[in-house]
Amino acid sequence: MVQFNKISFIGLFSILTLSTFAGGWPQPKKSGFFQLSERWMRSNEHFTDKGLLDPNVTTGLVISSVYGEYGLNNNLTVRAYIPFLVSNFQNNIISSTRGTEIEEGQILNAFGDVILGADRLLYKNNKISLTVGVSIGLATGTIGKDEKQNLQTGDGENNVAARIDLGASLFNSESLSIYGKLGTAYNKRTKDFSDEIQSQAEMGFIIKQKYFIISKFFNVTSMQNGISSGEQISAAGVFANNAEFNAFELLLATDVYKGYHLTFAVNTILSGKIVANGTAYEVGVFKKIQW
Amino acid sequence: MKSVFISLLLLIGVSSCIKDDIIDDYVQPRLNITSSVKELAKGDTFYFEAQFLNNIGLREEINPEWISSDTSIISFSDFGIAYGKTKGDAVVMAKHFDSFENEWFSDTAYVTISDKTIIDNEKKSGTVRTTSQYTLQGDFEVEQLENGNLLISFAANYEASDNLPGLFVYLTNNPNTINGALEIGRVTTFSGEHSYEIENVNINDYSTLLYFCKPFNVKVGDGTIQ
Repeated sequence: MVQFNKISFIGLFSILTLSTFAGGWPQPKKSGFFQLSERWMRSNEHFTDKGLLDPNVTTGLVISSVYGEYGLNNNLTVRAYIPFLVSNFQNNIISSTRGTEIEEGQILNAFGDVILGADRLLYKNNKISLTVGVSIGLATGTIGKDEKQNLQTGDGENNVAARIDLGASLFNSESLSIYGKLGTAYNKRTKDFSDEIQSQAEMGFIIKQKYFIISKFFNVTSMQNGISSGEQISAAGVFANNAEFNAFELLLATDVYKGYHLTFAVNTILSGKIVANGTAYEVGVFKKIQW
Repeated sequence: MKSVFISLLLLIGVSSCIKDDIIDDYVQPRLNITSSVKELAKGDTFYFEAQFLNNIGLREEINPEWISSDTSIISFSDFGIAYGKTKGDAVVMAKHFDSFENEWFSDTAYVTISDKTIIDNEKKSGTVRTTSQYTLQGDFEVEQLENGNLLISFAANYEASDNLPGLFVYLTNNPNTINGALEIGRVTTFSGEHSYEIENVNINDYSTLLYFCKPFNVKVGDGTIQ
């Protein structure tokens, strides 16, 4: 959920990191994990305000980030998402008639928007776990500092999201564990951006405690209580308010070396409005920690 | 583990590589008379002008040949300066041979030599239409003001989606790109009557009103100025 805030600019894709949705089961006291990952996507079309597809100049986004969770005690987990390098770029535009460059491609490399959060355990037994959480999105990214003032590495607004997650253990044996999780959040945004309801359903398979197969479905619905993108005069002008989408993600992970897990994720947009259409990929490494 | 981290860092460089998008920006090359008179007073002179637009709609500097259908009525000196000799009607023609296209291009205008000079600055009009999935429609008129500015006025039936970030409007001679286009400004009115006044633009300089999503370099719609 933490990175839902990153999705909204048109051409900005559904950059959703699986690990950031690790809520539902809080981390044990003085335990947690960190993840180093890179997520990238290119897109040359987007969903319009009517949910139909239109072309656009090929736009890309690469996010290199660190994400971590840590249990202050058995009931309270804190988390942080730090996109230490975000690259937003657009292709060159070449004339097919003369072969000349019409528009030079551009790239903006900068820090992204940091998100901090905490989850509190409300109820837990052998089968289910219920948590509530809050996260704060900080506008630490950059907007419009490229030559043409088109690109951005953050959405330019601070926000607060309140969430609730229900996790359930569906099957358990020595060789296979299956779990499910449902979560929803209300994201209160500033600077005339519409608030959002963010929902997620997840099912995970853990094979021999070594291989992880996790599938997720995401939905973001705009409350349409901000101003329209056309009326929004931001520095870059590329931020699209009121973005909505449904997305599916599949993540594979395996323990490769002394507790270091290698992860690979594929995320694709199923439908949407004012959001880029395409597939995002992620590779990463995470490791559990105990302090 | 070291190799994993190195691989991750390498991916940053690989995946953010800027590549090329090819767009079809061909338009039919053409020669347009941009400055003309409906009537020219006998004994007066008038400076005719023409512009040649190449196959991507960009203006190229040329020195067209000016021809009168009846040199006893109107005649030309160098550089398109016409002289009204006697009263009557004539056709003037601008001609240009373009070596790139290996082709002659021409445009004509009808001129009457009379007692007074009347500049040909008739109003033009057009209809904006969407070329995308976004709503964009409406009629407009284009008028040359006495101060030399151009006034573009939209009718009450104008409507544009306000959900597209960075929607800009341009004057262009190539409806496919903003290459060489004149940026009028960001669209801030999404329905109803409104107007733009553009400084020092001739009514015949541009053929198309172009709506373009600037941040994503994509055409949203256009309207031919007729």
